[in-house]
Amino acid sequence: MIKLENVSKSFGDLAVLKNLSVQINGGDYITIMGKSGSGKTTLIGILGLMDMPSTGSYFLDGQNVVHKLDEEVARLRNEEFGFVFQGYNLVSDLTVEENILIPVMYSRKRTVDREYLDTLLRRLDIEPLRKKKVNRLSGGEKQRVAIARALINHPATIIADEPTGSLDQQNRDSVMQIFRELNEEGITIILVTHDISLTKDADRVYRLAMGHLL
Amino acid sequence: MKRLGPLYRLKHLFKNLYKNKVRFALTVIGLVVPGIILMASYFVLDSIYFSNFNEYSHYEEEAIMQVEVDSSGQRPLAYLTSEFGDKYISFKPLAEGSLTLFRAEGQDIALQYRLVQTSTQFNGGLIFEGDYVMPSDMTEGRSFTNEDVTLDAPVALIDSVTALMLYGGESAVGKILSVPIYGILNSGDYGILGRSILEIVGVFEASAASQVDFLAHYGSGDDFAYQASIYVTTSFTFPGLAEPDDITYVFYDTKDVNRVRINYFNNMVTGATVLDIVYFDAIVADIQSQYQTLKIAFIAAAVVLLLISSASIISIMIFAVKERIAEIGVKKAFGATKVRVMVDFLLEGVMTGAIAFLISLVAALYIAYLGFFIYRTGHPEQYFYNVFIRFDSILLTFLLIHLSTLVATIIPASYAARINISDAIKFE
Repeated sequence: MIKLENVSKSFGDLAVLKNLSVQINGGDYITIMGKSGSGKTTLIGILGLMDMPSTGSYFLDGQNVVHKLDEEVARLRNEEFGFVFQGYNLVSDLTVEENILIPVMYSRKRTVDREYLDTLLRRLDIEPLRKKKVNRLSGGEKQRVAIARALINHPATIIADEPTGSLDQQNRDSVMQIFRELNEEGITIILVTHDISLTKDADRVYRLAMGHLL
Repeated sequence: MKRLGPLYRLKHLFKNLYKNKVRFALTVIGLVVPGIILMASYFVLDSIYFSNFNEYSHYEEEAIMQVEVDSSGQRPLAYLTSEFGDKYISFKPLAEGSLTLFRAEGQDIALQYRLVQTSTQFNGGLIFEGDYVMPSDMTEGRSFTNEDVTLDAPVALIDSVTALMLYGGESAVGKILSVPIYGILNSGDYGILGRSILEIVGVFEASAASQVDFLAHYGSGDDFAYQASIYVTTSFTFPGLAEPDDITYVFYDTKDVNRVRINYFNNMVTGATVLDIVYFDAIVADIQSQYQTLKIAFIAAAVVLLLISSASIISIMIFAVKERIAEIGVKKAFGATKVRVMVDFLLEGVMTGAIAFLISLVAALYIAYLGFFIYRTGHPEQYFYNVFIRFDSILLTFLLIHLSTLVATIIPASYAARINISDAIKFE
């Protein structure tokens, strides 16, 4: 369970998030909408422990993580979250499999569950591509690789920032179908989008405006 | 289950290094150049040093010394004799022209005297050539015997080039040499006091430099100067010179009973003063110090080049970090700690250093072996150098290269570690 309490985030004099509170339960599917510059990326940065709030508290499974050490926060990011970005953010000179295994490389055990990896590759229909360099893939294939990377460490929560922004209709539907299935399996989905049509599967839809979550 | 071990990590780091081949090559070259300078110069210096010295370490060091005599203002010094027991000594004249006379082709022959006490324990005796000790092999005849020394026999050894110069291709052994002895005449003028008649009993191998120098001119018809060498026993007294009664001073070395006896000529007080008696260990120390100075000069050059390389590595790596900012962001998002990001960059630096070091080592070995191979083509076999590789030269280069890469990588590595994830992700 993720709980933000009175969270604010400022960059210099610019207050991006103002006294924001939200609770996301395990297995929730929530969508965050907002105009460009409304602070969506800042919010998911905080939700995904990639950034810390200027003030306020962040409780992850009841534990305040705001003042934790970098090592501890990095471990939580590695074990609790999976990220899917609009621009895929794959490492171009690595193969599909190597990209997917990045989170494993930074995990404590550094062990790959081969069976699970194969299942993921088949499920996301990228099995034949596993030894290919990612810079030779199409947009849809890249995003499926990014989803596989997000799932490899069995995270409780997937945070997706405009995951379909660069995809055509067919690939967009395919990605949204994957998220729907993952949520049905109990994974929390936090989806950031400005496309209203992608909110239909969500349990709750939040709108970010003027630093507040409505 | 499969573990992503250190090899998997190294493979990734190497891929990162190899991402930009030009940048990688420039960084490596920047480290390889000082690495080669340092190692190659050390290999060459060590090889020369050990070839000159260590091969002769079987000689009894205590029995070798060099006596420097201030003979300013007096010529010749042929009347210098010595008593050093069973020590092998040579005189190193400081005065210009005191013992060295030259021959210009077509002119009267004048020969250099080097007075060397010898014994049968050495074949050919010891010749001090500048600063190093070199044994000479006999090419013809025999060396001195105890009898020669005891009986003050008028016998001489000459070097092979002198033999060639004096007698062409004929055997020199048995030939009689008439050597003019220069000195101050009763009239006070400088001139020939008399002639020393010596029988040549053996010919020894001339130095490589002498052979090369002489053969370059011999037969060309050019006028040239060549320092020939005649060796006589130091017990030998030149006829016509001062009698033993003329000896007025005996200098004692405080270390033991060694002493130098200075003969005066015609009772003229122009006495040579013994400046110093230098023992073998001191000669070695002196040469070591010369090598050390050269080595320090090469280290200084390498360090300056490494500093320049470090400065360029810093800018190259900061550029690389900026280029890989999105990738760093992804890795941090998926669990890489600041320390891990920093360590990864430092490891990249270490790997670059290791590759540069290996290339430097191979190149330095190649240069050293090739250099001595080329040198061999112009020199007789006994003057060949054996390439001597010292582990501490390799270790020093290894440490210097790695220290400079580590120092140069710390700044970009800490910059990479401090990258904000959210900002980095936007770079895609």
